[in-house]
Amino acid sequence: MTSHHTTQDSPVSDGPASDGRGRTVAALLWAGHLRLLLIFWAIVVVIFVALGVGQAAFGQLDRSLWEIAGLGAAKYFPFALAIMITPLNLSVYVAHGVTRREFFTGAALFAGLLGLVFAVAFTLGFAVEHLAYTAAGLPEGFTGPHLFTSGGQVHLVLVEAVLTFTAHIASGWLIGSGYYRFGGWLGTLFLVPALVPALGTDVLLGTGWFRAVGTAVGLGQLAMPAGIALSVLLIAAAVAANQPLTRSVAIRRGPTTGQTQWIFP
Amino acid sequence: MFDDRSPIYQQIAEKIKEDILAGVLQEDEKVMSTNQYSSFYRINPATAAKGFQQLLEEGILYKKRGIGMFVSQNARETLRQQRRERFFEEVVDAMVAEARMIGIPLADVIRRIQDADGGRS
Amino acid sequence: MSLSVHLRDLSLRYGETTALDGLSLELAGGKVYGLLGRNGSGKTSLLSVLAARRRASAGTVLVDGEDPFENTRIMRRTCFIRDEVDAYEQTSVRQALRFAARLRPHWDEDYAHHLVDTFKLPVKKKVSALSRGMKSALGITLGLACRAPLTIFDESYLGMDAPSRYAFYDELLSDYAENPRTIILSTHLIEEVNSLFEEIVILDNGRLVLHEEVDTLRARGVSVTGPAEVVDRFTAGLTVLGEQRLGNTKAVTVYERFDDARRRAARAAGLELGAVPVQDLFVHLTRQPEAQR
Repeated sequence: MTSHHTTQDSPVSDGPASDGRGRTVAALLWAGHLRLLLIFWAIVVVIFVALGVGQAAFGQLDRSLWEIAGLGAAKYFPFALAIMITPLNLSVYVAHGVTRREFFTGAALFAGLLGLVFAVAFTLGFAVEHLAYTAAGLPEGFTGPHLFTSGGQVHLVLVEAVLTFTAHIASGWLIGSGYYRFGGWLGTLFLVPALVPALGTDVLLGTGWFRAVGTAVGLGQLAMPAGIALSVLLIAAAVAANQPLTRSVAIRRGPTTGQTQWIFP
Repeated sequence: MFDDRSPIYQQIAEKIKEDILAGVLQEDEKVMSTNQYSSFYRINPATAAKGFQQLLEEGILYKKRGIGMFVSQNARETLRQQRRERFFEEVVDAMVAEARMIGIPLADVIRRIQDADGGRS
Repeated sequence: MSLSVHLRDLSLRYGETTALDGLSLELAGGKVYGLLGRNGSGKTSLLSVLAARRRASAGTVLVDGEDPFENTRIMRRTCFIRDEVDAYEQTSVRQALRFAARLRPHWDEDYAHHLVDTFKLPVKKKVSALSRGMKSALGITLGLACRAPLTIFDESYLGMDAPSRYAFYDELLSDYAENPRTIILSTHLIEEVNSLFEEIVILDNGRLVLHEEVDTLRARGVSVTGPAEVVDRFTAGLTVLGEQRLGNTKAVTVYERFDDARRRAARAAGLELGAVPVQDLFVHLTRQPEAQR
């Protein structure tokens, strides 16, 4: 931490330039969430190991546990964190002299980093599970459709994980910004478009539970490269949509935090 | 410390004048800086500066660049002269009016003054 | 380095409510301003526009010659401390200070430590666990240590006891003397703080009622007391802010500068002249703003 001593005569430094400011915001958002993320990961790993030991001891371990703990349930955690990005943080940053635009840049970097870290963690989890199952001669037994057929296909696991997590984070962030901008009623209506990236990526990639909806309405399955490309576009559009939503939003009065105490450890 | 009757800067100037008259501040003695004065009496520095400015203009204080403000050589005498001019109008006339109103004969007042003077010398 | 403020016909509306109604105001840089007004007069709305929390509905807002809204240069030079502290509830005081240090280009770490000691802020406690007064003290520490060229305190002393408030005033004055900047203090404690101000701005119903040097304001408020008909004759044509009657005695508050001649004339007419505290002037002025015109 640096301290600046200013006097009347000395020229006053402006601190980091505007784009550097976005990185500062991202670093602070990351630091603010780090402890919570570590706790979350510790819990996921403990549950995963406990399930594995239990399954192995009392029954037949014939399916992937990481798949259930991983893409199935845990994507909702970064999704929930992302919902809070704007409502919890924007006012604090603006109060500390950060523009909405700078905050948007920082939040986008943070959202990307969050998605990437989750994706890497889950890819590692699948790789570990794959090695363990292979060594024990167990079938990986995935229940859902995936881009990959084995946890050893690291590149495909990573692509699916990155897209799934970032899509959910993008949706979450958009939902939060929508509520902050529009308030209760319109904000709730805004859920519909805001959920498109999260659910749309499932459909486009042919993964996750929402794929069934796609199949039911008669959507065929896209070729993988097209699905990936369209997912990336969808996510990018969702991230970009936060900018017009918050560009000139009024900062709400009242205590900034309070109801969301859990989020900043 | 400061009343509501007049601008604070005037009250500051008056207070310093009182200190000079009473000998608390000697000639060529350094007076508090504007900022010290501002902190001490919890008043805006610009207001304090205005009070000092008035005293500079009246010649009661003088400035040594970079060092501070000092009481002028003849400040006390100047102030005494000003006060003497106002004395009869503001003090004596008011006293006479008050004495008449409440029925004290002027002779009593004069006797009192003579006693006070006798007591001193 | 201090920022000036220029407002022309500034309006701010939220839905049906008009919070600011064609406000024009000129604040030179480097002074301490007192912003006074009754509840709902538009003080916080005005400050929110200056601090880019809200965008003006109409009119011109210039801080140091530029529109502050979404303006990187102006926003990082402006610090607005509200009655609620803008820090995460679940962080410690120490973390809240570090957070500000990262984002505030002029932050003075040593001075922040000094303020923490002065206000006896418990650095390890969570913000949510602080008492009302300590939350305010944290806000004030954030506001002073960031040394923003435009620093705004909006009722930032809530819950602070008198000794802590005086510690705040002392710090404000001494730090302002060493690091001059534009400071705006919005307050209801008029008597307690008016000697800190160089100029006073009074708002009412979203409009400017008065912008005056404090010393001028002090000299302008005079109460005239005496027999009703004498008082009436004497105050005819003057700006009368309020009057009270007791039997045949009448006391009138006028907003007028009385020179020595006028004072002598009043005394000769058997009238009693009294000072009007700034607080009373404020009460009169915001009761009937049209009296000013």
